Amino acid sequence: MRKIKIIGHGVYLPENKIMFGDQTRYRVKEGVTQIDMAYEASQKALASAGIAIDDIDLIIHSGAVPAQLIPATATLLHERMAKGKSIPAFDVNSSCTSFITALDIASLYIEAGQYKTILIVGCDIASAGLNENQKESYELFSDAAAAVIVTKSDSEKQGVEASLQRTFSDGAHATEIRAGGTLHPGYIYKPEDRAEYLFDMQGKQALLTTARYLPSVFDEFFKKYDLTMDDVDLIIPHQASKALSMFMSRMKIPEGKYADRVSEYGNMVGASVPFMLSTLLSEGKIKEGDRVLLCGTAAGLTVNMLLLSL
Amino acid sequence: MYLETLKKIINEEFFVEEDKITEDSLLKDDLGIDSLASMQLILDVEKEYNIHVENEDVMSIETVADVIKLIDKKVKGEA
Repeated sequence: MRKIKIIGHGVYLPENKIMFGDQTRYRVKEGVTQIDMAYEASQKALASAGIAIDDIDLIIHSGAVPAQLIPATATLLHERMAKGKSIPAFDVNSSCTSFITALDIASLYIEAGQYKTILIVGCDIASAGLNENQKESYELFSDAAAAVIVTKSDSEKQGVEASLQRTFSDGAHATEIRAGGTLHPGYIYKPEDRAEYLFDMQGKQALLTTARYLPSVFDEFFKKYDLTMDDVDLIIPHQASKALSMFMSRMKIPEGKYADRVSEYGNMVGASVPFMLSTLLSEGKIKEGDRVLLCGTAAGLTVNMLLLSL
Repeated sequence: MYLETLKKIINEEFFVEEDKITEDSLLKDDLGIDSLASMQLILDVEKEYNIHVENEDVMSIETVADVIKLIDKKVKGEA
């Protein structure tokens, strides 16, 4: 057990709510930046923890797409909330499961004594990169931010019990934004290449790689740590798409054992898992003592799993 | 040859009556096999024929005939 506990959390949900049939999605208003959103969520997390920025030893931004290429989004957030202080700040990116990776890293840091209290902020503005010609993805995503503060716990029963991350890069091109990095720099932009700068999801490919690998990683995780589904109070999956319930059903995981709020919030990319975690804590649906399994698939294809005792 | 095996797999996995399945059947509209289910079908086919389907191969799978073509290509290519 890597002994950590959540002492604060908070979310930022844009006011701009749009409907696609019965599916609710959230999109930022023009002028609201990723830093604004991450800052708001972080301030709420600090307030709920009853601590100040000076009590934070490390700031991690966990998300798929940065505010700008350099410096790290965490650094830009640092500028907003910790300017003049020397708190380290860096980004963690495993796409949609960035928060799970970041929490894994944070727990290792805390366990090792490197840092005591860590702010992890997941924030993505999916709408900045959606292609209106790809209906499936255009109607799936929401913009959001969520922040969680973790610190060392004295309890033997609180913390990260188990984690496993696997990447299968035969899914590397099923979901991607090809341009904007060094392979296709923004300065060679031509209007006819616009789609290269937008999110491109090959739905069938993404489903094939998920169907191929997700069940085996679940099996590996439970076997490796000698766990059963009875050891988990609630699964908090990345809210990837409406296929979530189908995948769960295929893996014989009953409704009620996992949080499925896709129709209510959509896929919030890197904010998805911390948003769900914070929301379920605020709603009292999970509480101290519960064992929650954070999990999900991400562009890559990466499968991420982490069992957290609250 | 492949059609008969596919009928069996589709019947067992998705409970579609075999006599409703033809080469022209649209997986989604005629047989109720949605995108996720059709990818499960691909994994079943891989197992049945000991082949490996690449992501690019599934882009245009719409009908039973498309699946048959894919199996044929893979079986010949990987034989």
